[in-house]
Amino acid sequence: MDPDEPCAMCGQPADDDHHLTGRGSDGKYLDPELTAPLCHDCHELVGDDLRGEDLEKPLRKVTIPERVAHCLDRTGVLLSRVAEIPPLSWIGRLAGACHRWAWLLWGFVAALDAWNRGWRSAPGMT
Amino acid sequence: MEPGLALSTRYDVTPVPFEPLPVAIRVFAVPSTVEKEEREERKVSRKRREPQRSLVFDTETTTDASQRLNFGIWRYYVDRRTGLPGKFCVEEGIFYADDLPERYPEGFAVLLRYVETHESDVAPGRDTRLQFLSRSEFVEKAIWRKAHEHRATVVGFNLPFDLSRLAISSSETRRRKGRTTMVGGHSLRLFENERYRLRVDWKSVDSKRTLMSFTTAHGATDPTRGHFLDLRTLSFALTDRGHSLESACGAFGVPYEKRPVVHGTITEEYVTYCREDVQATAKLYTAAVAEYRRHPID
Repeated sequence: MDPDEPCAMCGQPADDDHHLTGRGSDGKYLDPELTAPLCHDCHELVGDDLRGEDLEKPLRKVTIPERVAHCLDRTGVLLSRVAEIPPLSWIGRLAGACHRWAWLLWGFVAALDAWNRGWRSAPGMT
Repeated sequence: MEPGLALSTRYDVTPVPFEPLPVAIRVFAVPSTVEKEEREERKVSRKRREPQRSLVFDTETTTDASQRLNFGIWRYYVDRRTGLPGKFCVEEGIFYADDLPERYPEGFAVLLRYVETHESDVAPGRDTRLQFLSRSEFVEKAIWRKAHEHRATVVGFNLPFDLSRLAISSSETRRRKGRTTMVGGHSLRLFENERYRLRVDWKSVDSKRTLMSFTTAHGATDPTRGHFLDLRTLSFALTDRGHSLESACGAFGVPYEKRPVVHGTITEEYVTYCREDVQATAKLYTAAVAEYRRHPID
């Protein structure tokens, strides 16, 4: 983390690197370089949001569309807070779009499951 | 350089030969207070600071003498600790009486249709689907999880009435662990299975004030009395006048006008009326807390 970089949410000096997409089933970050600088309080707040949305736990072994949907959901949660102070409506819309894209993918996965659960074990799906 | 010659070369004085002696100095070192304070400050700021969570809700009831629950609306806010509460809504939903589908199927169908055709009014980027829960699910997911476990403040206008609508039965409060504060009040049973759940006790002090608290759940390791905020009481305390929701909004500069509806009959307009009521309650909550903070009490 660049020590001079301000918190992406409130502009205070940043303390932590927040990993946008979280960890995978092996405990490693899915995208180690994809981080946002946050101060301690904002990091706690985002962590709380992620817990509230059940997105904080490491992602279990899942298929690629599920992984992408999970990453989009987590990114949306962060962006919705970034849009809060000062109000940045376009970031808010982007956060909403992230969630919508994630829902599309979750819906797609549900449709595939209903069609044939065997798709999950097909080559290249995880 | 030879010992003793340094001064002579720098200041051009006659060198006086001397023998170097080992010297020991004993000191009492006072640590730098600035550094210590900075360290302490850092330690405090690293402590986990919970955000402010608030559960704002309102209920609509039948219009007969029993005033049974028909449905209700809730909004859940998670705000940063340093700001005002009731700003960042993360969830909105409708809950309905457990027996509504059998007792009033037309009303239940209206609620179902409403949930399918309307979006929740939440902060940008949050789930825009209106949640739809039965009363039992609501007390489990909102009262137990949010208000008790996550220490959210339960907010309402005339809160004792709304809380009592959620109850499946009530009894007289009794002395609990030596505490007599609530004796003479009402103990509201919210959960069917009470073994690991709690009740809400409330006791009216006078027409404007009511004491409210959670009882201790069986086996609770971290019991809490909960945080309840009746805006009717707070608006009275801050203005010295009894208010309705509408007049309290007026007193605190929150624009709100109730839409005319027929009470007791569940229609789309009635649900929208209730949603607006809860939104106005949340805005009043923010405004009243801002006013309250202008008069700090140590």
